[in-house]
Amino acid sequence: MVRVAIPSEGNGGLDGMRAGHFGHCDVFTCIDVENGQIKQVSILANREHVQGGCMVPVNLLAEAGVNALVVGGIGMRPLMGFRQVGIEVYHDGERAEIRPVVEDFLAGALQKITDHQVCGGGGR
Amino acid sequence: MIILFVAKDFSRFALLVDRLRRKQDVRFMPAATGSSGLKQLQGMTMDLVIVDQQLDDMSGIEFVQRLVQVNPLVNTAIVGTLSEADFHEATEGLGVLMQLPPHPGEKEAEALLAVIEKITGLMQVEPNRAVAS
Repeated sequence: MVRVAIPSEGNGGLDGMRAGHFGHCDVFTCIDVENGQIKQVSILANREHVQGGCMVPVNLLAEAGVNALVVGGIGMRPLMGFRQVGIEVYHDGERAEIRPVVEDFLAGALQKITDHQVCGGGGR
Repeated sequence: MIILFVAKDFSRFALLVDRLRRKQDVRFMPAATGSSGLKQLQGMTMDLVIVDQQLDDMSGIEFVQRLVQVNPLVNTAIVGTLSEADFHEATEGLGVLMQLPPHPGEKEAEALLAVIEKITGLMQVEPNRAVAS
């Protein structure tokens, strides 16, 4: 089973909206996928964001059994943290809705984020 | 708490170090260059890295850019004189706790300890209760 997390605004959910930067999202919409099908959707509340606290959501998602994350933006340090704990990070910087991004993830149409796509001083 | 201190001249940091040492179980590991600091970080668990603005072989910001590739879990603070906006721009994505002034003292040590304590608290996750359906 794969558990993919989508940083989300408000209450999240498949019909909700994505958050632009994972560290500042309200919740993570977590989708459990088995044999290419959605088995369960659950909501994981994010923790308070503090300067330098990039590893807080990394730890939170790892403890929640998340294996994959789809972001619109992420910094180099949290990206490296996710890689270190075995969570694969995918990128979609275009769409604001959660559902089409999940559908593309299920179809294998999303690309893993590269080091050149990270936000800020760590990457560009 | 293990703190790696990367600086060419440690004398400017006496007040900061004295205050941090008052905390129980603080152990300092010094490194005089960026490359020696990065070597010490490989495979080592550290709680904090404090790096000076400029080292012989790289700047403090360059050091942190390399550090996150080697050991992203460790917290960092950089000595510097950038404006708040410039510091944010230069370190965005690197997850730096704060910029320290060239002569940091007790106030900065207290701030460092407070933010580390805050992050440590936020890192605590109750087992099996992370996902609410």
